[in-house]
Amino acid sequence: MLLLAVPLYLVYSVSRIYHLALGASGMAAAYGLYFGLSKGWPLGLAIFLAIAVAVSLSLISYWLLESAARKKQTMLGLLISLALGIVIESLISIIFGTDAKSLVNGVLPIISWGALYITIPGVITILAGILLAIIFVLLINKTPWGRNLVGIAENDHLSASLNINASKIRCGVFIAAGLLAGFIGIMTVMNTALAPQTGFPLVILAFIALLIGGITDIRGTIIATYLIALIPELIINLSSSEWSLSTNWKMVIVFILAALVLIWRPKGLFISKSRVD
Amino acid sequence: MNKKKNMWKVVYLLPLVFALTLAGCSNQSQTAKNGQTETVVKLGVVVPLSGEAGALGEEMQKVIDYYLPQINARYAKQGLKFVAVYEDGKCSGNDAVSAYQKLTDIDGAKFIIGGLCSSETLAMAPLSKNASALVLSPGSSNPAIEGASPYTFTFSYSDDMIGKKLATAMSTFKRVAIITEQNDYNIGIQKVWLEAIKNYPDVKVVANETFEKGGADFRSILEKVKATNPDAILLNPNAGVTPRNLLKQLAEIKDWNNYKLFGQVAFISPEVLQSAPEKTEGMIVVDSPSMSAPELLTLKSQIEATKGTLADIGSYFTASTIDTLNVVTSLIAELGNDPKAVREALVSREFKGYISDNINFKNSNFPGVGAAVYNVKNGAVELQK
Amino acid sequence: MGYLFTQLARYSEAAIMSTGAHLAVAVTNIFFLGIPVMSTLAAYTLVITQNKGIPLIWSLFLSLFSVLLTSLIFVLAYLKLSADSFTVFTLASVLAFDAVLKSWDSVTGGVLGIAGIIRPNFILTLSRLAWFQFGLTLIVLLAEYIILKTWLGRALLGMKENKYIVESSGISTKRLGAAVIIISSFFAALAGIVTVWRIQFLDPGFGGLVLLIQIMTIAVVAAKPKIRWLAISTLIIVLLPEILRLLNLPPTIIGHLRNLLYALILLIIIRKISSNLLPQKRFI
Repeated sequence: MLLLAVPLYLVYSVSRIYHLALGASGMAAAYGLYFGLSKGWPLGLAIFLAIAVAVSLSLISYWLLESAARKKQTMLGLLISLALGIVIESLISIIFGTDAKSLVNGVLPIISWGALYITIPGVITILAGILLAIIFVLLINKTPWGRNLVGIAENDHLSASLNINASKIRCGVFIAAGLLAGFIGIMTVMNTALAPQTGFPLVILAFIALLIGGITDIRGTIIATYLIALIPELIINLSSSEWSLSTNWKMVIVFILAALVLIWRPKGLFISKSRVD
Repeated sequence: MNKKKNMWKVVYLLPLVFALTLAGCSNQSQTAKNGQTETVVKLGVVVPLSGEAGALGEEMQKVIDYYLPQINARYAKQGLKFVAVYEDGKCSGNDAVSAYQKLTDIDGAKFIIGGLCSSETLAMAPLSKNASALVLSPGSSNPAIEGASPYTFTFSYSDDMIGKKLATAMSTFKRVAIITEQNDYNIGIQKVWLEAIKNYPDVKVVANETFEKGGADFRSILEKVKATNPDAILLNPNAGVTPRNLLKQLAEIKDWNNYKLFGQVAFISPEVLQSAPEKTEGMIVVDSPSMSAPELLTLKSQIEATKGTLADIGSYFTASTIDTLNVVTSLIAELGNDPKAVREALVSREFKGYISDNINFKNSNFPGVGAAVYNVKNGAVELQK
Repeated sequence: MGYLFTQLARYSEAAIMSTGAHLAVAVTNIFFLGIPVMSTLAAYTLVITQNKGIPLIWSLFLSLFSVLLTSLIFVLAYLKLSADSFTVFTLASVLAFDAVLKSWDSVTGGVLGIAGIIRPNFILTLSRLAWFQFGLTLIVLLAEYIILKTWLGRALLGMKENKYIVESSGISTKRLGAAVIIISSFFAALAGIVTVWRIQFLDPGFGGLVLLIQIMTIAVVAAKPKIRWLAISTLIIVLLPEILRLLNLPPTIIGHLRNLLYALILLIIIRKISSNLLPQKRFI
């Protein structure tokens, strides 16, 4: 679920807005799939519903955030996205209830190598994450589309004068981010459980990954995502029984880590070079 | 200028609307029905109706909604009518306090059925000390309820019983581990169990792990516990999807089988046990005594047929809810809508109900119900003889 | 009458806490979202120290001192980070602090919380407490009014418009921002202390995201830097869920409906009056 940092980065890169509703949107897509499956729909139709939910929420997010992005009102955009996330979460709670639900009944199939084991959805998530990371790094750094994205974020008036329609590109990015968040949400709940309040803490963790990695560099974001996932787990697992830390301390460890990194390097671990006027 | 005027109009009107709505509320009303005066007695009900424990509160609401008309039929000749007024405690002390204040001050309820979660009951207990209301919980089991208030009682067994029974059952093993969900019920059991296990010096607690309330991914915890090589593991989650996920993720670890599993009420339901049948076969579960009275089972199935499943609260809390209603309404019918008088009768008499033939609050805020040990066989629990 | 006093008390608590948020968000444009953390920290410090037998006055002092120290951490973050990064950082602090409260149960009582908190003798009854809180609210609102009328208030408003001009007039915007964070934290601490005296129960659910949404909604709805807007906004937002409660809606949805309404109000208000939340663009 920490791969949520990738769609967050995409939205931030075109709008300079932290899209806090992405976690809730991802959960909503997962609920769409759950709804279809629980009604006995064919898998394809249920997936289509999940995609429709993800795209609809992306378009709503775009509609709400576009003017803030155009006017560079980043703080208002953040507040709007926070409120939208709460709206989505509340609606899910009212419609489906807040008790956790399972998307998959029965024990998940696993792959094991000696003492290590991983579930099949976990494998898919990791592979998809690596693939997405490579694709987006290449897209953003090596393609004209990526350069357009960076250009819009830096100066959309200048981009407009080069016949680049910033609004259209932002819309496309919002939809892509929404679909990604939906995919990540579905993979996560297949491995764990479905609950409306799951999305928000994960999007905060993903933001911390964005901050630690450096908000201008996707490679930093991806590396920071894995650091944030692994370092607390290592600390918790290596803690001895006398000083044993439970998994509840994960958020505290991440927060302290973020505070230390940001005090040392306020712009993140990896900073892209940019022109200074 | 017009906008400002309109805004001030709204400001003046809002408290007026509020006051008028409040004026419409009444505590105990008397209405004439077919020439006979009917006294309406409001019973405040504080249970979680939203949040992770919402399913439990909703099932308790089903029991009350089904059974209350039968009680009203019983006391119709006396001209008494009991009405349940529900407030969402959200399994949170803060919300339970607001709910209590609203029920006692606005609705005029003198008797509160609830909370269901111990945090709700513990938060309301200090407020009841001035006899503003008598609080009767059908489901709170935290030992801290003992002595919390002279006007707060619970019809649940105490976590003390469950924790001690579990410690005794696990005392034959050398290396034990416990995995606990971070909510009031489970932490209560964990504390009692840890204290009780100290009485067995040969037993070593090799792992004591907790996970956040409503958590869904336990793989790293299970790996951590596996590394300590325990002979017995106590799984201590709350009821719902969490025990199912815990069992499923335990079953994923194929090369780890040399331990005995123990559990509590979360593992009573066959649906939960069948999520990983190969793991739960032979599991020991400690819970309330078996509620096998035919009348209760018939009543429970009638409620389920009309209102829906009661899988989460199970037989015991269905029985405790019915017993709470029976006891409090019988005392109100006899002594009137007076918390002090009802409380005096509660602590001086014995009552017969589904949870026990001797419900007794003479020396305790708990009803004196013990714990029972069950073995899991073929995906269902059997009472250990 | 008890219910009315409870609503008066809730209004006062929300107004005191929102004054800090109003000062930070509406006046200075600093989106400091760590206010629930300050309120909860103050409440826990007060209760824990009192339970250890420390006299009330010293408990109050320790409570406010702990909030001051923690606010300095946020000041450091404010000075180091960009505006939106600081906002997300403070939002993350709400979740992190919640995790600490739940996990450090030897000190905080964990999820079981701390029950039976005793009120000071002079406000033992609910009516006295409510009037005390209302009096405190008036003092806090007056304090913000005075701040806004002095050079500090003008500098804060100027900072929202154009911080470079404020800097060029010799006023350090960093110190101004730090002052706002500390003042907001102080108001939040006061609110936390009086709230825990009313509820007499403390658990990790005391603060959190629900409280944050409520106070941010109040601060955003009261978009202008005027005290009466803040007072009215607080009245509307505090009374709204009570009106819902009296409408006999299914109890299962009231809690979520309240959050939904707050968030919708926030969305609508931000889109409608966003210009009031931003630096005023003067045309010369």
